[in-house]
Amino acid sequence: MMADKSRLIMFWGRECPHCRIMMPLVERLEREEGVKFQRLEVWHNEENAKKMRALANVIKSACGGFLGTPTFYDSQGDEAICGEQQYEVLREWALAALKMG
Amino acid sequence: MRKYYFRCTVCNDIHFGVSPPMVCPTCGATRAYVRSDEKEAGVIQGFMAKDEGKTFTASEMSEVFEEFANQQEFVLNPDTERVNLLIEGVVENEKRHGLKYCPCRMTMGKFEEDLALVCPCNFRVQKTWEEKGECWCGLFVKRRDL
Repeated sequence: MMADKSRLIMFWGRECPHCRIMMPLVERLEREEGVKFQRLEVWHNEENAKKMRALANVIKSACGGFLGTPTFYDSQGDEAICGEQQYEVLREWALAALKMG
Repeated sequence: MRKYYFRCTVCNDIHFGVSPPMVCPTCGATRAYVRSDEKEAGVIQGFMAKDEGKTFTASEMSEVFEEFANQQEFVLNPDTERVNLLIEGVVENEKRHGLKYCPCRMTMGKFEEDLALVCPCNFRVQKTWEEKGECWCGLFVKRRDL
């Protein structure tokens, strides 16, 4: 599978435990499936925070009304999933997103 | 007699007194007050800038969260590593962004809307509270012995 660095984004927070749990799963997914996530830390980087806020409509809808971390966003399909996920769920989501494109 | 600031975790009403009101006079929530610090009380009431005022240390924050959970239907998460990371984030967010914003959610940059993210928040309305028995970030979990 071709890696597209700008396609899938992981919005995360440095002090967010869910993000800490998901990080090795994202690394595993990248290793096993060849996909790439652009990791944007939002609490210590205002530019990244602005990027997340600009996607508020999609992300709030996925998170239940707020901008939750981690959020996984597909910039081409304009779709997101929010919060801690099982590895298989994240894998299916990422592969389906890339397939759609 | 020493007085403290207290914040209603449902509507962000600020009280200054010896002890917190049992019922919030603004929204009617019961046992919803958490001990607040000078910066939080000042910023919420609009008389202090984000870079002013004294804040809780991480160890004071830990005591405040324990105190808040005391005699409620929830406790602090027994996963101390998780709790310590969250406390680090909450303390850091207050220093850098003016309020104790949840480290697991991002602000919109709109003061009124972002008040809903101040920790402890009104987590009983969250889906994760209903489905998993914990707040979004996992700081507080429902007591299993009830």
